[in-house]
Amino acid sequence: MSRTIGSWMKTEVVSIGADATLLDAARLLAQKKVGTLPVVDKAGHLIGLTSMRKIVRFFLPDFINVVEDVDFVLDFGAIDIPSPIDIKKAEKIKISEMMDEPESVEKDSSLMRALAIMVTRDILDLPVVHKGILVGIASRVDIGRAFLHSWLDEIPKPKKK
Amino acid sequence: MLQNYFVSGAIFLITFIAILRDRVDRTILAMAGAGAMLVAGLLLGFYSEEAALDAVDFATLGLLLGMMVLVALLASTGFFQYLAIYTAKLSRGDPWTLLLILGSITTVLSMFLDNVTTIVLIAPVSILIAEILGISPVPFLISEALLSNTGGVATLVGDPPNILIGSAANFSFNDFLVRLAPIVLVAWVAAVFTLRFLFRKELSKRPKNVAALAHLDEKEAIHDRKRLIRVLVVMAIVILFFFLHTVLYLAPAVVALLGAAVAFLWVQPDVDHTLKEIEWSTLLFFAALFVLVGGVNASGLLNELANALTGLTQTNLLLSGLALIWGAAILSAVVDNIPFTIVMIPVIQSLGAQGVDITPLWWALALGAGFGGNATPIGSTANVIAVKLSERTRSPISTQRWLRTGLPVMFVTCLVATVLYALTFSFM
Repeated sequence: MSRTIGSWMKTEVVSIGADATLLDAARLLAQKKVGTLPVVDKAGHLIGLTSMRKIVRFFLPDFINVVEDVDFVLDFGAIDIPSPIDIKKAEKIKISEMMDEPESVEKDSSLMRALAIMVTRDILDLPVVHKGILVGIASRVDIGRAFLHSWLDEIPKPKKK
Repeated sequence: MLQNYFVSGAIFLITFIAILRDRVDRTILAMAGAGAMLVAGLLLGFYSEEAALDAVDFATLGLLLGMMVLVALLASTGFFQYLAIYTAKLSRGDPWTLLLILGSITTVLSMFLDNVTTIVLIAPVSILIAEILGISPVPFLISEALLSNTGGVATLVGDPPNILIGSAANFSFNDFLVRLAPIVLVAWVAAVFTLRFLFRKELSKRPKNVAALAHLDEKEAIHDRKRLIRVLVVMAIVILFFFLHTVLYLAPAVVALLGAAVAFLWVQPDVDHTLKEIEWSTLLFFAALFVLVGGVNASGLLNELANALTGLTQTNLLLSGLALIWGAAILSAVVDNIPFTIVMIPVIQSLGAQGVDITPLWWALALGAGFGGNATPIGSTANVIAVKLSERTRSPISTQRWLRTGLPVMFVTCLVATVLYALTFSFM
């Protein structure tokens, strides 16, 4: 197999438009089995990344942002059920307010480069682009497997007598 | 002469106004101001390197640093969370009782520890408890900051203006307890009832999820039991030594730094990690302000100011004290009370040099600077922290929201201070 990311990525990408709302993203994430949602404009250019992590955080109580640990909270009381106010708010928040930098690699980048970017930026799924257009996505497991595969292939096979 | 007054006064005023505008970090501004003052002083000959170093009050810095080390060691043990949860459970979910309990805990802690740390550690748990109960955390955040400011006035180590005043006037820990603690106690009770009235609507809501509060497990909050006990023992001894000042003659700064040394030796923490928790920016801010104000003092300007005030003060010392309470309160409301106190110290000292009995003026300054910090969100560092924390939640505290509570509380506490100051004036 080739050592470029293009030959190992998934080409069916679940993505979301920039003018979608947080509620749309929540619905999409609830249906599809993905953790990262690339945000694209109408022409398919990658403009940002949002994720399951970011979206569910919105529904967490405020104190998560201010206390260091929650070991001692055994019962979340009033906030155990999602508040209708939060759902109303989620309808108004645009995804463009909830996205991070569009980390990505070109289709013909090497696996090593993809792996290095993933590890240093601490991201779980890496979008793959070609001339700015989103063409695929590779998870940490996809890249890790591909990388280890090619690496193990290099081990000299024992010579048969 | 006039040129020196003008230059030093101008550098000081520009720095002060820049700190007031709060566009650039106050520590950066104070350092820039101190640098400019020293350079101008060296060029014009009114300030020297030695004088600048002499202007730095190392007793204040040492006391602050020592206490900060002890608090940093205590903070990571989970003690504050434990205390807040344990006591909050006693309220059985009644909002007013909860406010009273959390407010009292904050007050007692901030009498002995730095207000900022107290708020940083207690306020997040308060937000947590309020959310679990399904009530607004805003009354709790504002009350805790206001009550910690108010309570801090009672002791030598309670808030930075007191540390500065204690060091300048050579007041002991017990002097503060005898002169200020009774006034502060009455002012505190008045503040609590003012808060109860102002938050009557929020506090009348009966939370539905009282059971969740009972399910908080405070024991889970403690991370390091061994360290917790050791640091508490050292802190208790440090506070005991503060009380015994009249017998042992150990300066508070020495006691605090010795305590820090003993705690370090006994706990043997990761030193780099612990020192990261120290508010170096605050210490540097103090040091820079000392150098800045030292320059104004060296130019003779503050002496002139004191001269102008002498006649006035000598005619009626009581009235001067009262004027100082309100003047200090109003100025401390609009600008951080630390720079204000650092400026007032040399002025009061010059008054003393001219034969005015300045002891009552020191107490007036402590009361005004302490209570004045309640009025606005920037009046004290505790307020700033409470507002910053609230901005990370769904209910951020606006300036107007703060003023609606802070101004009445400042007014009530200053009024109590005025009455009691006048009544006890002959004992001051």
